Amino acid sequence: MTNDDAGRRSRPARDAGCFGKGRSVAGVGALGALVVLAAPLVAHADTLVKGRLKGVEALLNPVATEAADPNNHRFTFREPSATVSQQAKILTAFLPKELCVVALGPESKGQGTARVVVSGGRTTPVTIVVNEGQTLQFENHDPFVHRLYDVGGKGGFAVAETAPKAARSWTPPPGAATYELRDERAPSLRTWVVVEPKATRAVTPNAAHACGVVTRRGEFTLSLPEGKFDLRGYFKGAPVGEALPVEVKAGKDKQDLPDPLVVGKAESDTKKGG
Amino acid sequence: MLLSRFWYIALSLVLGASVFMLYIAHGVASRTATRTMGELLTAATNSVEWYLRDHAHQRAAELTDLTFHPDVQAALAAAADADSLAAVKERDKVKSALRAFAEKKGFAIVWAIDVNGRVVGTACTLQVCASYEQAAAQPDFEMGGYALVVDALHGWVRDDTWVFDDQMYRVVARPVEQKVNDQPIGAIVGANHVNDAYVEAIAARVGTAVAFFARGNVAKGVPPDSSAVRSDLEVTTEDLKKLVDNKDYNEKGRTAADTLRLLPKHTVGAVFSRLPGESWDSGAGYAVIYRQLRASSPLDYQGVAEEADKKSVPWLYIALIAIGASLLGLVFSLLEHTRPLARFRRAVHELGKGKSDVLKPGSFRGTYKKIASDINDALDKVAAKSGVERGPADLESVLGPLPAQPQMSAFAVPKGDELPVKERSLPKAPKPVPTPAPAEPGTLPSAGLSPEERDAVARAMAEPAAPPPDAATPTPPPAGAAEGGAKRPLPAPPKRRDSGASAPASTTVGEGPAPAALEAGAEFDEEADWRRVFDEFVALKQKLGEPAEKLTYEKFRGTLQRNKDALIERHAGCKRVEFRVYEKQGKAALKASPVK
Repeated sequence: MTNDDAGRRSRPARDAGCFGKGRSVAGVGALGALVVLAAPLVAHADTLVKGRLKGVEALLNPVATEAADPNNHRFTFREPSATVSQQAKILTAFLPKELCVVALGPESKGQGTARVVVSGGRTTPVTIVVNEGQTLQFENHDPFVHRLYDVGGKGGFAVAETAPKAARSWTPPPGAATYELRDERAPSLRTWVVVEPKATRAVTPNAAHACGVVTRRGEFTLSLPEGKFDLRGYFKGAPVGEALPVEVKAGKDKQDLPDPLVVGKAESDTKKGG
Repeated sequence: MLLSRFWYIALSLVLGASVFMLYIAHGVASRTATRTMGELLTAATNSVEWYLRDHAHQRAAELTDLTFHPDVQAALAAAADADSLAAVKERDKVKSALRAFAEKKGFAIVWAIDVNGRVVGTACTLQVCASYEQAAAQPDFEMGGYALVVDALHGWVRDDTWVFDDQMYRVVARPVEQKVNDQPIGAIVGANHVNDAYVEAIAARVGTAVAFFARGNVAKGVPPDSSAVRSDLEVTTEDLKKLVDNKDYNEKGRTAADTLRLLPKHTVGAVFSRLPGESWDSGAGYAVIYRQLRASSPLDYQGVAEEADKKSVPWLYIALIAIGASLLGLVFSLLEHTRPLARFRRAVHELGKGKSDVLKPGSFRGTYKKIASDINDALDKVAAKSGVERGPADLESVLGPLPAQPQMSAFAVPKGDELPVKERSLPKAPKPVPTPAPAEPGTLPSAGLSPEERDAVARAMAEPAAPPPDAATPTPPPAGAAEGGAKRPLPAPPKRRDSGASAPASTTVGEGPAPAALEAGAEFDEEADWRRVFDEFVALKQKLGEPAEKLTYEKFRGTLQRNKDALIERHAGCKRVEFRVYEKQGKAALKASPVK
């Protein structure tokens, strides 16, 4: 799923407002509109499952965090803006692209091609979970070439040039595994591809991967068939937080989850836990 | 000749010391130049680093104008809540604002980025901007993946270096804020293209050549006042390939100052540094290059010296030293060579013209004195062969080389059986009256003489004995012909040349009554002979300028007597001793000849 794909279905909710009280109302309204608009797109058997995330503050952007270390020589000066809050200065991850919420169910074979956009120093999504046998297509939307490869070479994704407006396909080897992809031309680009046989394809056929839609405010939606699933967040190519058991009942267009999906331990929780 | 020799030695020592010091100076200069070049390159590299930081600070501060621009703020705020950027109406205004700002401040590219990382507006002043603007027009185009943008969207101001299409960009970003203590609504990113003009500006401030490189593309700059050929200061692909294996460059991010290449008169040194930012891992960096004068040997300094160097040389002092040294050498040469030679030449000329009979060794110095003496001896021999009596013969020349004798043992003459007296057919003389016991052999009797007289007589007695050049006695043959001399007919008695006015009587030794008396077979009058010898000795001393006032005949006679006795006692059969006066090395001298 690309940013555009996600936005088509979820941006009203994602962009409804974040980090501000005034935007919460608009966000709720937009989420409602999203549900209404998305309903015709999903199969009748699918239920739009909506939930919220907990502990997103613990998810830090790995690239930015690494670049903030002076020992890595990524800048000659780096200073905080005095008028920005300290909380905002924490280099938290951009959830819509970096966090993948997956419903783990019975094993299945993936179908279709998962589209990944390369642009702006990263891919969209950054962490992607696919089924076995699924193909990924990397589309270069930058005005310059990229040279993607998988770190370690275990995925057989060798270094190759992708020209502007060109695309490159890759099918990970069979079996559950995690692959980290990088770009020789853009050091900030780090992508994680997770091959998970139990991942349930959760969204539109265009996306062909298992990641649900996540907003910046920490909300997510998944279109799931009837059945029992374990919801799990994937960040930096690895599952984070705790699994959230979910039972999707038939006959419902949408289902709100009462409990949040924990993707990390917030600092406040850490203090409470001693 | 001593002065000249010392002068040559002194000159050689000075020359050697000068060459030694020159090489020492060359070594010190080379070492200092290398160290100075290293320090300069290190300082210049630090300056480039500081420039990059300071310049980035300034550029980031300049972005503040845009962060407060109302159209920019409105567009970013609208974009944050928009599903699609197409819904943001202020985008055109943002673009205009960005373009005006970029042209005013000289930014190559300026982006306005919303909180999701999407590019709301772009302004580009480069010729290659079409591709960037086309990319920005795509709905999926965003820049939220760059750490610089992430930082700015989280409230940080910082810089970075990006490499797009092998082109380097120094980038700064700062957040756009609507409310204090709130989350930024976006970020403004400004980029400076690292091209030749950009690097020229750095080189002008640093004072050395600078080159930025990334993936084979090099942007270079040379200080405007540099006299170096630009190609000498360029970084080549071969230079960059060496960085792959450079441990310092890969681990520390900077190489040590090292020689880049050697030119005929210069050493080109460089320090390579990795460029901070994303470029750190993209192989981008910069080099500070400096050209240092080089002299491979002391002789090269003439070639590498500039007009200013030559003007700083104290030519006057050097010329004075050279002229002074030359004059001193000429004076020494004049004193020790030209003048003695001229004097000798004149004396020889007078001798040749017949104005003098002999050369006066006393009037010469050094080797000329010896040469004059030898010439005199040679003339004597020639004259002897020609039958002309020229004066007293040298005992050594007559008898051959004498055995070594202690100096001053004037009468330590050879043993009796070694004397070829028989061949010489010397006339007989009456046995002398017994005299007091002689002094110890090898010592000079000195009783009754003043120190000066004793010295004079001692010097006289130091001469080896020689046979008397009796007028009635044939001139003895040369030493080598002594054995056959008896069988060979003797030459006619030599006749002395007329010495003329230039040859005083006192120096025409050998004249007197003794030869005539001997020739006539009369009784030898030793007393008269010794008085004659005394007179001749005194006359010669006076002629040669030696003091003779205190020398009395009585003292002189006593000395002769003692030495005669000593000789007679040593040589059996010796009846008498004949003394002859002659000049030796400018002083009056006596020769004693035992006669059987």
